[in-house]
Amino acid sequence: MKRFKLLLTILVAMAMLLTGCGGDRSGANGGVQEASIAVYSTPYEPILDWDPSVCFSTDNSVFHNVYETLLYYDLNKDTFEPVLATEYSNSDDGLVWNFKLREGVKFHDGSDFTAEDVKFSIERTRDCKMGPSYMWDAVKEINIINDYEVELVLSYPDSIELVASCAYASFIMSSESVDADFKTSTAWFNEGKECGTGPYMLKSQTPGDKVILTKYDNYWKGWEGKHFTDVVFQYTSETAVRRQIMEGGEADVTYDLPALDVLELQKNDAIKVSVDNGLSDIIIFMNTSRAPLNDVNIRKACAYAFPYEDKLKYVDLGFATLATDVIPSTMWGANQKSPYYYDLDKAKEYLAAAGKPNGGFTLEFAYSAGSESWKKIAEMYKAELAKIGITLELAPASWDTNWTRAKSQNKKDRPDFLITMQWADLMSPAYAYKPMFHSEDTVNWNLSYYYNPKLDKLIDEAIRMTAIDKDKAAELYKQCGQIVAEDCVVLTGGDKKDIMIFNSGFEGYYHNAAYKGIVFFYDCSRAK
Amino acid sequence: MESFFEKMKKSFLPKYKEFRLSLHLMNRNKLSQLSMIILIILVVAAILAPYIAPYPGDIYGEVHMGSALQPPSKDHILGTDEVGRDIFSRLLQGTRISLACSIIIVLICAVFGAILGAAAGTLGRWIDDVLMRITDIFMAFPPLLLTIAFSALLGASLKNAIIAMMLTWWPPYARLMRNSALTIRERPYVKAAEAIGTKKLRITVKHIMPNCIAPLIIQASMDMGAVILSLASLSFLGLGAQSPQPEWGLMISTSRAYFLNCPWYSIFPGLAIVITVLAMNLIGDGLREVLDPKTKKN
Amino acid sequence: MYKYILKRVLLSIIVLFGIILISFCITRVIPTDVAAKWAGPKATAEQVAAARVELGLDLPYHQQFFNYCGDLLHFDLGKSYITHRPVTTEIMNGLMATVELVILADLLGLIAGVFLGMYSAKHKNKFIDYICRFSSITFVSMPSFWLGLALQLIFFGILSLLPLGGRISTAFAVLHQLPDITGMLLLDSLLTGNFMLFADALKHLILPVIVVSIYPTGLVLRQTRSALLEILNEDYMTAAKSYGLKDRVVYWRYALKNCIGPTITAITYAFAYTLTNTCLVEAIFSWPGIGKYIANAVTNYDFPAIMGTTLFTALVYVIFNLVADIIAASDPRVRM
Repeated sequence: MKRFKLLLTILVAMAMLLTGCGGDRSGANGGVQEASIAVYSTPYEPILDWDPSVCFSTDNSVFHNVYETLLYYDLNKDTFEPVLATEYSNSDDGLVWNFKLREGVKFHDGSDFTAEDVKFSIERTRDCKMGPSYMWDAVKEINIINDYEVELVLSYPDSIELVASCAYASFIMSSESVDADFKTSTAWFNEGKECGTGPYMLKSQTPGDKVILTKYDNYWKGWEGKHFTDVVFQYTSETAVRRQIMEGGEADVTYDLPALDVLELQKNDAIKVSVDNGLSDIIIFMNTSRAPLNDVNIRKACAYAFPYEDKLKYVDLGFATLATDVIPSTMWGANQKSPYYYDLDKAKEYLAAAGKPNGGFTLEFAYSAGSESWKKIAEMYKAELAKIGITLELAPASWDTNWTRAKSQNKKDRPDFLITMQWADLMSPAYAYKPMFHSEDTVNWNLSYYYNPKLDKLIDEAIRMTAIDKDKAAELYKQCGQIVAEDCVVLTGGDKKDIMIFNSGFEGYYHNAAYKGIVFFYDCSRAK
Repeated sequence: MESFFEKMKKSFLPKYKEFRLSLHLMNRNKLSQLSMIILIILVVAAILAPYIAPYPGDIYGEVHMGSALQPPSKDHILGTDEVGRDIFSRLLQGTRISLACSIIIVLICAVFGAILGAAAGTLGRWIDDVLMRITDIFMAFPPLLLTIAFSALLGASLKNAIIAMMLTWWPPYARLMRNSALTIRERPYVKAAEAIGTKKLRITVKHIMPNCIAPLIIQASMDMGAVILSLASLSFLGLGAQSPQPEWGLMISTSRAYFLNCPWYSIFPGLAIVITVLAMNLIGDGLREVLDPKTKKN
Repeated sequence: MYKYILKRVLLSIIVLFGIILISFCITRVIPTDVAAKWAGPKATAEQVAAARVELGLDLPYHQQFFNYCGDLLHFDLGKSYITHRPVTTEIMNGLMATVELVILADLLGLIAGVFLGMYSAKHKNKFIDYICRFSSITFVSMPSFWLGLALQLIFFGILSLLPLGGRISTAFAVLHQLPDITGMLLLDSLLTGNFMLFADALKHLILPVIVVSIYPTGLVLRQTRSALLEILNEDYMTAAKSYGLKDRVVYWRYALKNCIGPTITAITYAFAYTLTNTCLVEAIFSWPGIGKYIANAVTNYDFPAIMGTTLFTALVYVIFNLVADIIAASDPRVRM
């Protein structure tokens, strides 16, 4: 017995020694308050594919620090700012676009940036037929006028300035380093190679864990003033751990924390939370291909039964705004008021108009399993619909299962409701209207199965006009929004805010919803 | 008919007496006794859950966003969850789900495994080889991994998780049954029955199977708790029960997003699992001590 | 003896083939459109069709199975739907983190289990024995994921003593080049003499190791205790005691030696459970090993990753079992 006690004491003493030897939880090792190193704690893997033509995911937050684009679009001011292109112009019919290029820019591989590289990059991205490559589909040919001037000729009018400044597909790479054969070059990229003109270049990476960038000495803007010399993208999927990292000062930036955690962090002096209007919204598709949602009155009843305000209050905890259109209200061409609001009496009226005053039918609500907020939305909506006699069955499954079901040829397989998060990949309402509400040959993204020739024509016209007369296009998009709202084929669940969480010493971040989640680290620094 | 009952009585009476004796022996073990009481309470709670729950509506879909994530209080003795439902009510219903699922899974697996094992043990030859290789293959996967794969394949739902559990949980029973069948086949009375030309099926059903029951019962009672744990683990990974089903593992999984601020939400469902599984394991242990001659002397 | 080993090896090969067949079937009858998943969330219909050809999903099934086996011979477990990286590479990336966790946990479980088991047997039917037996059952009744949360709550949430998760603090990972000799941070840091790193890695290891080791501890404790009691009843032990040999000698030199067989069996069984438990525990502690990899794959329905890892783990388990059996068979005390 004595020896047992002794053993126990030793064990306890050892445990205390071990736990005591490393300091406490806040600011373990003093955090990364190294002036020259920035740490971005990412909720997703920092890089899934190193090929800039293929990148169509959150890895663009690394790409935008390594590669540059021809233009930068400032959504807040609605202006295009020069980056690699110094100026640009287009013909009145929107078919010919001319870009003058910046001189004296060098790629990380040492070669000069010229018109050849622009032609190579755009063609490579357009022809790879992966990820966001369709954005360049309009480009018919690219003519090199001289070393620092290119001309893009389109097969149909398209606003190339939007594509050239897009958060995806717009990266310019060195034609010197990249093999002309796509298979060879994409494999080369994925060995962990890059050849951009951006302020940082790849120093090292551990796939599935982190990417470390270091400054490129010959960057064309120079390194005068305060800048970070190294940038680390560290992948941490657990929200609780990411919050811990932020609180401990171990990272400078993160995003995608649960609303409850954000509220807590806002009270913390060591943390800065930036909350701005974003460009993503929740769209719930309604299955118009079969009864009962093929009846517009029932769809409207469902739309009036949706708890819009409660959802903002309890699910988003205020980090979202009421949806005003099927596209976010901050996007140009968006209507500024939705005809639908929460009103069960109105919902009952529409049910009566459909000949089912007491409801009495069952609808299925499909959502991605594992999403806490969608589960809450589903449960709240279920409770509301129950009040007007409609039973809502919740069908959580993986997104892929849901999408496969929704795309099924068999109408019976398709769920009645399918909740999705939509984000603007292109700064034009076309990002939403073209895939979601335009007729398509095989079902892919038009998951309300809504086919309206009149709307198709309007959308096509609006896309064409974007290149020629943006105000006119905005007008057309507003009409599109009204038609979709009138036919009530989707429910709008609110516009999400962009929330970025910073260490309070981190300065220089400028919020621009066009580049969601992207921090241009060259413009940032640490306050002393 | 009468003779049939007579026969049944004759063959089961000694077993029943043995069972009574076992119960008596088990009752000497205080822990087993306590566990038995706990288990009985749990079973009663499971049966009556919808009637005795303080907030019966909360068992299913009701939401009360205004009272979300409240700590334990007089109104909600174990607090509320993220949409304002009473955790105590949901735990009660969770007892029902867990107990029912584990009984169904263990029962079906034991019966299915026993039939296969008996077939392998008595028919012998290639049937035995094939069946045993199949059980080898299933048992070669670390526990739960194959179940995870199957339930991911079938899609996330409680029903599918149960099916996946059944698909992967039967091999030990088959193995057990076959081994005891092999031993018993060598016993003189079976040999005698064979010698007088009794049919194989009859021998199996009448002589072999009843005598292999004890190890099966031990295994089944030991498995009950393990099944509840596995099911909770599946739900925790997002593969089993789906919201708003009040399954314990799922509740812990959901609570993870809030556990530092609202510890009660994670702690109580876990305690429910520990208490239930512990009670079952203690009973299983007690049963084993009584039924398994090998451990009796310890 | 050799015949037995040969038989055992042959059996393992049959089992392996069965495992491969099962995992092939699972990857091919998935309810989701694999090609759509591969092509990504915003894929066009055209891109999905291209992905189908790229993945070889347009071939007949027997052809696909043939390709699958061929790939396995090259250690090719397919590519993850999510990262598009080879599953083999990803498993190798996480392997050593898991090995570190599992070895330490099993070791701890073994040592603690044997100690407590002996202690319990020595004081049979005393209070301490009851405590040990009760805790051994409690240990195997606890959901590891819940225990993990509870420990996090105590040691991070309330006491602020230990980190919430991860393998090393971000600050450390960012500022220092980590040594990469064996992939096991604890060992590597000792080899390079980096004691700061050692302390940091150790702090991150404590909670996950405790949680994973709880099951083997319970199991080994129980096995050791009952094996010891059985042996202590044997005549030669009584004889040894009556010769006046010290208790310590009796227990350590004679009794324990005879418990090796059952303890090996227990630890083999416990090893299988630790492999499974790491899935849940690594997910809780965001430990970057293969367990977390499976857990992530499950949430994303990344079937090549799920099946690849399952196959790999089953393979390891089969080999481990084979080795344990052969060791046990070469021990003359174990009857075959």
